[in-house]
Amino acid sequence: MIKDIAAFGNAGILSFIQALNVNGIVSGTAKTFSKFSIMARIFSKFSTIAETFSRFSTEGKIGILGITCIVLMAVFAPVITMYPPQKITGDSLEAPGPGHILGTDDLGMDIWSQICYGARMSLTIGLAVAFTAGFGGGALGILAGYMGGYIDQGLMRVIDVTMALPSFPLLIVISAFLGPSILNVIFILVLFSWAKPARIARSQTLLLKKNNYIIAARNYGAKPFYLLWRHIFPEVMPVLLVLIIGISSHAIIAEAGLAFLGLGDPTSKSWGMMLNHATGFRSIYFTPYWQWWLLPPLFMLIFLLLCLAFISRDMERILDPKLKIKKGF
Amino acid sequence: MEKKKLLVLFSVFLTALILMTAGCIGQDSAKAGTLAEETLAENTADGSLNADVVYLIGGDYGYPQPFTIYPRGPGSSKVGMIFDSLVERDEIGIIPWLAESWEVSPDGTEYTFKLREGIVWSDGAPFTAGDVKFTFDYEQKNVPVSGGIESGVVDNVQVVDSGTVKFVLSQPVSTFLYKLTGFKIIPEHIYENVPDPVSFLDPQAVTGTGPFLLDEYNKEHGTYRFVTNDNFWGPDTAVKSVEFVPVSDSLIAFEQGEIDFTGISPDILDRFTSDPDVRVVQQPAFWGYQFYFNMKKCPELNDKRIRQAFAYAIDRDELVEKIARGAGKAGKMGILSEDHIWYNPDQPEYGYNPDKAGALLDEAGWIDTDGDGIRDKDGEKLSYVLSLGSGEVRIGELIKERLSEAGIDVQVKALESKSRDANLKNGDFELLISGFGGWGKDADYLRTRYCDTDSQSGMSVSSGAAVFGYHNDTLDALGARELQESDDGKRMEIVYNMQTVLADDVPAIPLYYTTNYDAWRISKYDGWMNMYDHHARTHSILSYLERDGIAEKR
Repeated sequence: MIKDIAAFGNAGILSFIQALNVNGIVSGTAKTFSKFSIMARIFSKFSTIAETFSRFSTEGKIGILGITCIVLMAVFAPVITMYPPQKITGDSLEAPGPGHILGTDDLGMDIWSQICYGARMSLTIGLAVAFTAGFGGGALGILAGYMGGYIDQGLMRVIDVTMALPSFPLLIVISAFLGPSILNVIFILVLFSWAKPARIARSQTLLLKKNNYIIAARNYGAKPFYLLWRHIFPEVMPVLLVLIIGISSHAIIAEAGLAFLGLGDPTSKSWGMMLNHATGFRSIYFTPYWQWWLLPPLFMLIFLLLCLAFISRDMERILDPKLKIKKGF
Repeated sequence: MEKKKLLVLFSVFLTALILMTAGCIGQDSAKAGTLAEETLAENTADGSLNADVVYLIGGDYGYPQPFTIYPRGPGSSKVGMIFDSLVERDEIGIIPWLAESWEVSPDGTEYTFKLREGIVWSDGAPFTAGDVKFTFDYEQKNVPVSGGIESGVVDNVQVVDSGTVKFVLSQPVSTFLYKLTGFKIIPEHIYENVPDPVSFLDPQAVTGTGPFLLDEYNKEHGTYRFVTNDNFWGPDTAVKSVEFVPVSDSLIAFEQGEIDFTGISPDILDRFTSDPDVRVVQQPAFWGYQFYFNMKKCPELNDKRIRQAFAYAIDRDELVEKIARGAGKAGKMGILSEDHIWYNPDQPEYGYNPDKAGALLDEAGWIDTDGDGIRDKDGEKLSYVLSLGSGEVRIGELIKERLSEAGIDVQVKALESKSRDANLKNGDFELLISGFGGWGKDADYLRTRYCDTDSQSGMSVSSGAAVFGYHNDTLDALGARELQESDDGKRMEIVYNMQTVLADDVPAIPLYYTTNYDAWRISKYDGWMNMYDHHARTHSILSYLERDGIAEKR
């Protein structure tokens, strides 16, 4: 179905561009032509995005809107906050007020800034891990599936082992061993999440490479790389995307979990670290401070994960019929 | 179907919103936290002076024998429950313990102790002067974790008769009797056959003369159970057994009655001050955080102007205010805390003054030439790694922020506290923060910590000058004189001078001394007492005993 949309979208773009092309020729300047064409492209992109968006259920839409909000928050963090998150700008544990929208933590650092900049940390780690693991694992899986033989067998065994390992206890041990830093956290999380996309990409590739059109293409002399890039990868891509969303939510939880346990970078301002510091504050539940120190990062985490879950569920729903059709081949 | 889902979603977000706004309420109660010491109303009610069992906060501190315990207060105090020393400390001073009385020769080099009669080890074997001599000889080779006698102090130990033992010192040592309060006597008939006491984890290893026996120890859970030693020579135990149990949140555990004694945060003082069954008492400032410079690894720190700049740049009052929540006293560069009996009030002061810090660094040649906010000199940046325990991260963050104002870059490296202690001991750090007790002890620790004349005995967590490469001739000379001076008035004068020298030279920065609040239920057990030089009531063995008349002969 996605394919249909894409086809439709492409047709739309083509006709649009053609129409504008005529316009451009009539006006007679190449400059306006290019300008129009870009605008047309943007417009048509919007229309396809709107089209896809309309296919999402209500939860899916809320999810997308939520993610957009969080991304905007992260991107425009310096604009929408008054203070840098690591500067001491107020008294210790000020309650929310006009000076500090969400109050301050024990060191007098603004909590709203920490939330906004913390979004960067969560998103960066989530996306970095998801894309590295998703595409890296996917590429490995495709290669293994396509090449077959010992390489395939070897990789499958490695995947079996990786998937059988209990990830969180090992995460704790390894990150304690390697020491706290963002790169280490990303590295460790990638290490534990590449197996699933690899395995699924492999099975998809196995399925696809038996298709007549691919065999035909090969017989016409298509090189392996061409086949992988033009025929197989685009087909595996949608499934990988769904997995990537799943991995990113997993990575965000894992990062927050590690940070909460004190295994992240201790001076970073991530949500998990905020939770760690807040819960580490002696008897915080007997004081009013938890309301503005503990709750905001907690809610942001829950909200982000909810949004991701909504989106991934919807994408699965949208993509699923296509998978069924493929299997029916 | 769709509607139902929407409703669920909506309610989720609504609750979220409500809870978020809840954060805005309760501003007034937020400020009520910090109560000053004098407003702390004394709970005058009488409490119970006997208890069958007292529950305390657990945690693994190693097997409670002198060679395997972990070198921190809660550890060595557990050794003290099983093993006795010749003399003990109470609220006022040194009292006779295994030794009934003692004599000092006129030149101060011979201490003769008359031991109590009828003392037996917990396995029934009699305790004699031979055990004392054995302990000393044994610990020459096998250094105990804490309480060992510095090498070179005692020349030899002689057994005069089975009830009399004589220590011959190689020079007069003013603090010798005080040092003996930590010198735990071990049984000769058991340890004579133990070549490596560090791996001696047999139940026999905890045979002592003390008031308690180790009934149960679980390393994994960090639990200990001590029960009364029926063979104990001394006063009856007021607490029949002491159990250390694991707790995740001490305050919740205290509220639920799982433990009978806890430290409480100043923010929640008023929760307990109104409770007639709870006694809240503030500790003296004898537990502190120290900021170390490693002058061996970073030679530029040998310039005292840089160290002074650190002292000016770190806002220690802010640390007390924010991290200790007001329950603390800012560190003095003369090392001794204000509560120490020999604190010198007339010493160089270092208030928070980033401009002064900047001026000092300028003077030392550290100038920010490339405009990145970090000072440099000869192409080298004024940038350090600050190692600290995971519990001190917030202190590190605050210090990092304040030092960056002065143009000093610091990266905080959080370690597990035991590996931090190991790094400190091995000198494997650039800057380091460590917190430990014992700041109320005899001021002789100024010598053992900051004079590099002789290596410090034991595996103390407050590492000595030789490790971090500090050397000061004046201080070394003062330290040597202080050690031999037997007149207290003159010694105090020397200690005052030492503080002035230290405050000028800043070999290390005491960040702040904590004055935490202890709380306990008086209906359960109210017999807690503090040693005169110590902060923690649970660490004193006398806290668990009937104390009538034990200090008659002081």
